[in-house]
Amino acid sequence: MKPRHLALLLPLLLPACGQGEQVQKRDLLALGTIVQITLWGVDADKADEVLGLARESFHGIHREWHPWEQPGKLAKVNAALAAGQAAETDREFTATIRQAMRLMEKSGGLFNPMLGHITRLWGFHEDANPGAVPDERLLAEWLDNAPQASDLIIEDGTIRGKRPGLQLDLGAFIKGHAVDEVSERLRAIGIENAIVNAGGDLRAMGRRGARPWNIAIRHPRNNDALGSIETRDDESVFTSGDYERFFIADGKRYHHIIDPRTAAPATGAAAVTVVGSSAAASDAAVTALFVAGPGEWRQAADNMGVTCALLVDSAGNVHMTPDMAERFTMNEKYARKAF
Amino acid sequence: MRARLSDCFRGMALARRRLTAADAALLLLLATMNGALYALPARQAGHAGDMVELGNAATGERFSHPLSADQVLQVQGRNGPITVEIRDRQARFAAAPCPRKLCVHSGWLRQAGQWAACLDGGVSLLVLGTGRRHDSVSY
Repeated sequence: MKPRHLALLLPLLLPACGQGEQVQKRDLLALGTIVQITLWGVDADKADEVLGLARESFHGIHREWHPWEQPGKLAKVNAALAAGQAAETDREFTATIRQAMRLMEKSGGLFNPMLGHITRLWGFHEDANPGAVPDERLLAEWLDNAPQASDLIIEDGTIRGKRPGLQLDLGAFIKGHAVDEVSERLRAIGIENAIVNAGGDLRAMGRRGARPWNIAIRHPRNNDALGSIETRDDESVFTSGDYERFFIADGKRYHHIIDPRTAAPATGAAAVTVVGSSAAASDAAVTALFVAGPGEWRQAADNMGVTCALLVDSAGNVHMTPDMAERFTMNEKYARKAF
Repeated sequence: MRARLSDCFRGMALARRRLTAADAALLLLLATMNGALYALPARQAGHAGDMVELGNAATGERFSHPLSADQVLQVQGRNGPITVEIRDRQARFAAAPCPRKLCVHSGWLRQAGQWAACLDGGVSLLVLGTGRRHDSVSY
């Protein structure tokens, strides 16, 4: 066979060429979890530059937004709120708090960034396993005085509470905010094809060469994929489940997603996935939909402008919005029921 | 540009005229292999893995180990030493200093696409197998 004949065969061999050679992955620890950056079409030096930039952003956001670790900005605000005092803040910080409060309003309070006190009562603010259910009287007391959006007064340069004891915890929002910030910084340095995944919550930009990014959605009870979805252009994929942080007491599972209406872990859902454009909004939405549960999650999705979402209920049934049903590829072994 | 395209078509015509039986057999073989490669992506789920990818976010290191070679690996995680065991074409977190031990309780991983992570330690395991794999996991 002549060399020019071999040239005719090249298109046939293309699938055998390793696309993976153009993928770079970098890991770092931030926000108490594993952050993984996946890049396509850049060399190792550029990937290392991206890692440095991502590390700087994530660690900066961790310092500023940790609810209790001094001398962070949010920790200072919480200290002031606990004492019934006004806290001085900068414009950027205030804008982020306002964004979170707007999402709270859209969710009808199902996403609530003022659950700091109740999170501490349940012990989910620490790395160690809490292992015990809080005293019912303390939960009832909190419910009697449950914080409302109107309790927080945000003015230019200051944040204060209408009453003492308010505590902000943006745990269900700030990871998304960080993913958005890092994604925008990557775009600013010319990165067009990347996934920024912070502890399983991610934003995927561009493509992996000729094909879209393929994102697996974790099965809530097994270490494999319930299914997968291909992202379009620039999308966030956020998943929350009762398996992330939990403890078992008297044979019952208590997880970290607190329902502000009951002051206890939300019931009815095992996992929720939301696909949207903004990572911060998807982060808040996935919590709101989880708290809403199987009976109200579609209404909560409508309220928050979410069109692509799925919910696995505590019996293992998989519910999807029409948009998700069209795009989701279910793992064959779970085609009938998740569990 | 038009002239170059026509040259190309002319070359293809020449190639067709001079193709031998051996060339045709080779073409058939390559086309069959090519078809198989396209078919692989659909076969990933539920298939036994070949390698386990170990990522350590505490150090930024990432290694792949064959599941065919039994071994016990000590990894220095953020919170101390983490033991990863590979045995009988499976991998697992055998021991970790984290208080909740969720990674240890996640058990053996054997099928392509299965994963587990010790978030406290910053160490993750992902089983790799034949065919296309997911680019990232939402969990």
